[in-house]
Amino acid sequence: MSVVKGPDSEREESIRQMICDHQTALLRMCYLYLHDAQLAEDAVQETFIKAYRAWDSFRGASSVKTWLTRIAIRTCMDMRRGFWFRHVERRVTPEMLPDRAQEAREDESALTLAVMNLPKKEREVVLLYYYQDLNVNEIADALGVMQPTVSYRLRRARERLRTELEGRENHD
Amino acid sequence: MTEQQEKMRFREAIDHTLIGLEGNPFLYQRVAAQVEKGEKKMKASFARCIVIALIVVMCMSTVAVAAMMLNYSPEASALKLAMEAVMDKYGLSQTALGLFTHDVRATDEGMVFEFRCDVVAVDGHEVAGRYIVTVPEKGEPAAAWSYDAADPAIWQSGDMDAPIWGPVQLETFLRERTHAGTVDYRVNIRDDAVSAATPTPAPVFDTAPVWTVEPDVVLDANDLSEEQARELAVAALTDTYRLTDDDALQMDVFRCDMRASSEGDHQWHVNAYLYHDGYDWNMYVIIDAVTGEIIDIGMQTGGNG
Repeated sequence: MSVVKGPDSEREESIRQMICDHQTALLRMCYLYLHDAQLAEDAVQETFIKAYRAWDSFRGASSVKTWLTRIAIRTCMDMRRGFWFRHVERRVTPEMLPDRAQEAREDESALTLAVMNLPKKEREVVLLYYYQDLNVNEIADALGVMQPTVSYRLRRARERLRTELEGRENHD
Repeated sequence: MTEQQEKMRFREAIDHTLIGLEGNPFLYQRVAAQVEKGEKKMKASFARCIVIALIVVMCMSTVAVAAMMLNYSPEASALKLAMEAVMDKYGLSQTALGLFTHDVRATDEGMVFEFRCDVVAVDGHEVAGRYIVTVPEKGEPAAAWSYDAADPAIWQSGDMDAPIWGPVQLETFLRERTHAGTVDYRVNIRDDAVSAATPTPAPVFDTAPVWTVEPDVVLDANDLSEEQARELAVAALTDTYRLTDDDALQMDVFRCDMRASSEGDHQWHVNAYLYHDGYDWNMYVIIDAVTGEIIDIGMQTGGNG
């Protein structure tokens, strides 16, 4: 006898699968954006709570990953609007990276730090484009800006990263 | 290296560095518990929650609808890019940029915005210069400053007596003018500075309509209601000036008039005020009353000086 699953159990399974597939990447993206592991965990939990509640309205117009990424970046943006974030933008140093970061190659951790130290708007587009593999249209939609703005910020970010990383190589 | 390879290398570098950040194996249980907790609360005080939810849904839906409907004219879209280009390249804050009024003209290269400061020296020379931004149809905006060729040491010192003012002097000027109320700098506000309180957009293209006040304009059945115009204006200002939801709530929309262009098109002219980070922001939005398109948008930084 086959068991017919109701909509609730389908939703639960879908959410469980989404968490399994995407939570680590989202956690790392939120960390790169917020510069704080605890806040990043909160943002990811909040993302999945929102996804759980909005699951019935998800029509599959984009991939699940794109949908979750959009929720996560907006959650991070909301968290950043707090008083503390508006007035404090700490420059991240190697000592501030999470445990086991020293296991990475030096050029890898340098890139991670350079991304974390980008201006906020440029960091947003870099994370969405390079780390989460969203296209320019999807990024514009997620951030609520025009596509040329995304392209412009992306170009600026690339230039800034190149300067930062080349400067570091020359220094070494 | 292809773009996909570049992305892959990027992800690998990040993942290797952040290997210590792993997902929580109990996250699903935490999420489910939070959702369930919310639902139980709903059942426990059903009536009260329904009222609150209805209020929230009403607020959310109006803001969300307004945000979804945001549709900028090519000039208004390009203006946003031009402002960002100036702020990014020259380090001006949005509040400092509010001391400038802009003109725009169409050229073969794209739309050219000229930001001209309302603050000039008593002898008439423009201490803050002019920022000129070309926004091409495709590609990135290019910003230039009329003092690009000058020795940066002149303005980087922050000296208020310097013949050229950079961002530091503009911030000082804003601070002194706003907070002290009196200022003894050798500057005056330009006589022809456009007042944001009474927007009079200049005709920038040959085809652009000239705005005229039509006190007898009657709301048409196809026009947006005043309430919708107000919501759209708040959403557009919030979006354009990267304001927070709190700012949107604090914004005082003190004027919303229906006007007509010389061609008879109906527009909503909306004025709003916000006390933002210690400064007065006077803002305006002009909205096409039929399509909801944001025709023009602007902000000027005020003060009590």
